[in-house]
Amino acid sequence: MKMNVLSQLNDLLEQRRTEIPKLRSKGQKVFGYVCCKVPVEIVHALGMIPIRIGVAAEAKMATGKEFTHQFTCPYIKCIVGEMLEQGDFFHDNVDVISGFVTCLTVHRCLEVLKQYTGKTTFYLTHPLNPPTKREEKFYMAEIAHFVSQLEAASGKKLDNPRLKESVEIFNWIRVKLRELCRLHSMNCSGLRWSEVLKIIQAGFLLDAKQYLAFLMETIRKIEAEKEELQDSNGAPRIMLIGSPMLPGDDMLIKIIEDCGARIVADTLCTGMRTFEDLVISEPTIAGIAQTYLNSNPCASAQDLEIEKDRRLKHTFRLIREHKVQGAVYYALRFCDHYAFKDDETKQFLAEKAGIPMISIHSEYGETEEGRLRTRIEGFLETL
Amino acid sequence: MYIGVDIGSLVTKTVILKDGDIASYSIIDSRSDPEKAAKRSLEHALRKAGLGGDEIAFTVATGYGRTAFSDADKTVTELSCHGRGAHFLHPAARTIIDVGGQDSKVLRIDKSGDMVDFAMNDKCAAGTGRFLEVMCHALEIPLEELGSFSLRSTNSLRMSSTCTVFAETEVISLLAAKQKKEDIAAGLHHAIARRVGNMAKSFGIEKDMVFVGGVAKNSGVRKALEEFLGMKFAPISHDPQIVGALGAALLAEDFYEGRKKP
Repeated sequence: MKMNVLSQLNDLLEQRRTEIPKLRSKGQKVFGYVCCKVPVEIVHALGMIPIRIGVAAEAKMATGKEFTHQFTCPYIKCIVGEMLEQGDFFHDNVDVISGFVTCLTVHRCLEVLKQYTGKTTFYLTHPLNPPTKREEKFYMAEIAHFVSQLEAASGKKLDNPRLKESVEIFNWIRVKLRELCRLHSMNCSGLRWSEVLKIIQAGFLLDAKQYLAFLMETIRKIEAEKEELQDSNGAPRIMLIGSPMLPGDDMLIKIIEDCGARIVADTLCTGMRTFEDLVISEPTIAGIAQTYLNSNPCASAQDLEIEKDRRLKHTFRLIREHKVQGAVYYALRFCDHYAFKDDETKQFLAEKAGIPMISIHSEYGETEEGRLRTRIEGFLETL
Repeated sequence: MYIGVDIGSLVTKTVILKDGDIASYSIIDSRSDPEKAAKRSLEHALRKAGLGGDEIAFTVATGYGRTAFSDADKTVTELSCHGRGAHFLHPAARTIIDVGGQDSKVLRIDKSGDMVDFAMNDKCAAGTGRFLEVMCHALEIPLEELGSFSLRSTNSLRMSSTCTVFAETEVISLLAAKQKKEDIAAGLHHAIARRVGNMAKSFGIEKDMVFVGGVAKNSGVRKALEEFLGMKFAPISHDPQIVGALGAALLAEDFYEGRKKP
């Protein structure tokens, strides 16, 4: 089952990379985004192709550094490098660029991309305070502005039937991804987390309907074989917390798995955060805005009082739901949101959830494997 | 008998444990091949004790090169091994500071000697054994004499960096400015103490505190760290450099006797 699923996924991704240039030549526009809370259903409803920009690659980081700064985080360096290097898939295919300004580095990224690509580029902002009527009003206006920008870029008007259809497709994708993670958490997916993550991240590129069909088929296969796939080897159950891990940045995950642990959940913007809490009940702009606003907030919207922190509450809920025994906190270099919060998070998890946490400060690349392996092995030895 | 081999970045250590005590140990340079270093170190320790390899019941390898030693029955990180070794030598120990060839660590152990938490320095070799080796070369002082040499200082100099490259440049500049070598050495030790001590302070220290690893043999660093932390290290009865290998040998016994799951 496992080999079939992964090889089918690789084929789909490969086909998609050749299909997208053809669709563009027929007039369809590609919308590249850099944040997991960009409402892709709206992009989809306007007939554009939403794809998430970014693959972890050291060579692209070098290019990205040329256009940003040595103290820029690897995540943004990769995105900038990919968007500015001729011959790169993202450079060659993205027509419109957008994302939430979740930190000043993202802002700088969009600024640099607008300047050097000359492509339509615009950003969104989100409220930092917990949602009240005031934040709702602000956010609603922001999403309405987003729609008008997209309408201008696509040359189309958003209509309700198309929006309803798109919302429904993405809702189903999110439901199925939750189901996949639930099966994985129950030790009966037959997959490693690195493979589950590959499936989650395939949604950054694949056509929504095709992706949904793939997810439904994969879950059907797992359900049919789950008793045989059941794995009860008692490996420690680990949760990943922290900075985005772009597709290709799987070294830490592989080390954790090679050391005999099972990753059962994450809170990453490139993992479960892309679909958790995002099932939209009202297929309107207002309904979409409400759902995104009330979902697990961005790391840039941390509450000032730790007791009220919505992100930590969300993390706590996932720990209980997935019976997590230890957390690995991944902070990319120069990713301040996560670097600032590791001690607090460690203390919170120890006191409130009763689980230990290890902080890993790292960057994309293979050079640190030995250093990370000792830390992860040491951490697992404490469990 | 039980074997613990700690294959470090600069030095490989082996401890032979027999009848619950250290029967022999060896400390050799790791050079470029960790597996060969482990074998040489083990042979050396066996020869010293007049023992043959056929009596070995279980071997645990630890240290950065642990996975390279194919004769090991199990590998365990140097973190857990240092905890276990320090607990054997000083059962009241709760905080262990280890400064080795290329990294430094602080770990907390429970009353059984099991590690419960740890912190490690960042990826560069600032303020570690390798740092001191390079500084000894610049100062033209043998490594083993650096500690006692620095204790003669009357005016410890402030070093601005523990980066090995920058500190070497600084040492050369200070020598050119006719500063006393013992004052420079004391300054280097205080720089290490600040770096390691800050990591220990932010991690949190519980008494008793034990200092292990190759750098723990340096009396100058030991004194500077004690001053920085405002508390004394508990004395241990063996060479602090073999504590990781000792812990590995003790864990080998635990695994063999079924006290721990391999």
